[in-house]
Amino acid sequence: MSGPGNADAADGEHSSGPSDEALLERLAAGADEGALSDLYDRYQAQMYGLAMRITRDPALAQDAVQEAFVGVWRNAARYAVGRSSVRTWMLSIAHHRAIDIVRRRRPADTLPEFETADPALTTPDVWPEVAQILDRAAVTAAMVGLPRAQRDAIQLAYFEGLTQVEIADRTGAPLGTVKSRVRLGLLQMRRALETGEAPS
Amino acid sequence: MTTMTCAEATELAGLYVLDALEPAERALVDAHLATCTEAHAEFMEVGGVVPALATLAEPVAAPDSLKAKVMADYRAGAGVAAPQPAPFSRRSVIRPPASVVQAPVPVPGLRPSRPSWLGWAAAAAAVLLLVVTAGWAYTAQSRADAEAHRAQVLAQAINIMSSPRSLSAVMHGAAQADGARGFAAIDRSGVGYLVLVDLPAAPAGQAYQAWYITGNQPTSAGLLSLEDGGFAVLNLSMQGTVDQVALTLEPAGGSAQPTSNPILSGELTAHA
Repeated sequence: MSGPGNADAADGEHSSGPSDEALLERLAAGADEGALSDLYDRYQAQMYGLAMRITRDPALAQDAVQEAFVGVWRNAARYAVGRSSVRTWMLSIAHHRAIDIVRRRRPADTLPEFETADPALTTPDVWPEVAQILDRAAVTAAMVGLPRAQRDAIQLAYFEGLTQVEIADRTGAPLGTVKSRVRLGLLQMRRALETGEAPS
Repeated sequence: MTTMTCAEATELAGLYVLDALEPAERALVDAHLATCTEAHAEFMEVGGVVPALATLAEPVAAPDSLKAKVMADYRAGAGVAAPQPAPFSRRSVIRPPASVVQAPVPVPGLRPSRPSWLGWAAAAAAVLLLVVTAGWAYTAQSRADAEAHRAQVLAQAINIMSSPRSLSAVMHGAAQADGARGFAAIDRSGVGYLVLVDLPAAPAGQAYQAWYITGNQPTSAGLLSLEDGGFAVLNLSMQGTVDQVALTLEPAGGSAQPTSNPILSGELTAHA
């Protein structure tokens, strides 16, 4: 989990060439293979890495990234500048697709249609700048500093795609406890990332 | 519908932003957020952490082949100019109107008192549902363009169905068809579509060929190409009176006359 500082940010850095927002605008405006190609080159490694972490299967991870890029160009016009960075937006789509694929492999559990409901896309991200510069070491420290139960609950939800009921089943905790653990854990992480100190 | 209080919604904020709510519960939260006058800043607070979680996953270079698939999806579905535009060329497909994908056969001019229309609409609805939902079983690439393609076909077929003096047929299969089904819709000028789903792959060296049947006289309507999931669509263009549309298995390349019994057939019915 530890990594060389900000490897993901390096992947997304692009000191030359059009901005991410400009590329997305071009996609939204009409057919523009070059724009999609550039966005792919910038973010494929982060998206694929995230999808691999969730699906733990190269074929499924590729499906997730492929579906995610369909989501990107189909919804390019819906991207709201200022609500989140393009990187954040694209990673949230990749996450959603990977989770969807993982859940499809479990019986009777599907996510709603991406186009009609996606909290990751509709929840305003007030941290677009922060998210751009966060490095893995800081996030890891914030996560490791959480109480074990909170950390497990967040990881089960985010990286394994478990729902609250499934998390409750897996951990043996009541539903109300799962709700609290996830919410409080995320809030503690936020505070830790804001202050640069591990949660106490 | 059960409603949710602010406190209850807030309690679910973390699970909501992590996509970890059951669909029904998430719907309640969505409904609450859509109508509540409170700002619910906590959703933004916890939501802001989610992008950070993504950084915990080590970047991994995707296989080179993946980019080619992504770009192919885009060419297929984003309206990139095609060298040879065709009525149902995948490359010519623009994203279909959502109403077409989601609406259960809204047929303008439908006359409920006409049994044939009712039967036809029910059959078409079944096919529509099947066609749209079948897409979930596919890989991303095929799903992306297939959804758009199929929705467009259905939109045009439905348009024909609702046009005056159109003809339609529900295709029924023989045992060989192995569950395949579909319909034909032809406008008054003789132009239309044959849409089939769940068609098994043709045996090696053989191909599916469609026929217009007038009395006992068949005339070739053309060869079908199967897409993922056994979906096939054929542009129809017929002249004169036709009683049925049928499908046979023929040697690859097709036949001048059918060499086997139909595995699917449907009687064309006229509509006002």
